[in-house]
Amino acid sequence: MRGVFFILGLIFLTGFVFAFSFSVEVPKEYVTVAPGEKVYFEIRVLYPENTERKDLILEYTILDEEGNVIVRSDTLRAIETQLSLLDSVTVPHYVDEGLYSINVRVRDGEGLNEQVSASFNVLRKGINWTVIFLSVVFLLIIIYFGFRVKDFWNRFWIRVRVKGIVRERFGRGD
Amino acid sequence: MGSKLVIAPVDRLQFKIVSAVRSLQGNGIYVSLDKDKKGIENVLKRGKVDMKRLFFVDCVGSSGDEKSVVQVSPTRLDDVSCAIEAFVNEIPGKKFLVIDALAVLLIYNNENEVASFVRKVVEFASERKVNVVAFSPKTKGEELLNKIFGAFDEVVGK
Repeated sequence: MRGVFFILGLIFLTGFVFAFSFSVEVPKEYVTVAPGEKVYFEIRVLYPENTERKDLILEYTILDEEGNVIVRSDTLRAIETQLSLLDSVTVPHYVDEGLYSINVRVRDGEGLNEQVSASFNVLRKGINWTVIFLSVVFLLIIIYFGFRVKDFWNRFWIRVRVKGIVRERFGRGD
Repeated sequence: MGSKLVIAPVDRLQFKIVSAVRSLQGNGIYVSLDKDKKGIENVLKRGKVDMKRLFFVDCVGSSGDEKSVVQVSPTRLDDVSCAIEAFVNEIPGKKFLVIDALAVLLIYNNENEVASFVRKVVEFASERKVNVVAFSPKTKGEELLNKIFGAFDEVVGK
């Protein structure tokens, strides 16, 4: 009998302990970001044993490869049994290229304190010469047509004026 | 019918212009490059020219007050020829074109541009049977004059 209670107790305890799960994932399109851009990450929290609304503090930290803290922020989110959200942190302009990790720590003020992390790359984006070239071409086209339109209007008004002067002189109604 | 370039000393130029305008028949387009409309009117009235026969393209004045005048910048040769073409197309009957004084265009444009403008205007006028008389002072723009001699049927005073 004691053995049965022990096994039930063990199942209950292990079930209780492992029921809380929490993960963070950086979506594919944000695995590489440039300094100054936001890195987005998806947080999933499963808390099945928590049947009433509870506030969780989510603390985000970006760390470099050496573990130095680059930026930190936190947010408060309410959870009942699960929470899924896409959040972001801006990567500072001054960071170098390299591998970084986003560390998410979750706390509830009642002893819950878990953390997970996911990595992402910071790459400085090179100058996109194609975009610059196309922009310059576009600008030149606009300037060219601007002048053409101006010339067209100048000549149009000259013709209108001439027509008016001649008709006034000859009194033609046609 | 035809085109004529009159080259004359500066002191004789006004006399030549007045007598040419008086002798031409029909309505005229007067392109003025060195006098505003009032200046030309004074000269022509003194020469007893009937002003009602003339339409002015004024490349000097910029007041915009004159309602019966088309004011065009001498730097914009395309606009000058546009004004000439519009007058030629609008004025009914026999007409003539006077350009006074051609060499002034060299102050604002380079020789090749002016030569091309002259050829274009003379060609256009000839096609529409419009008499063209262009005047130029003898001392100015001899290089240009050499370039445009060929565009005129007759050159007087070279």
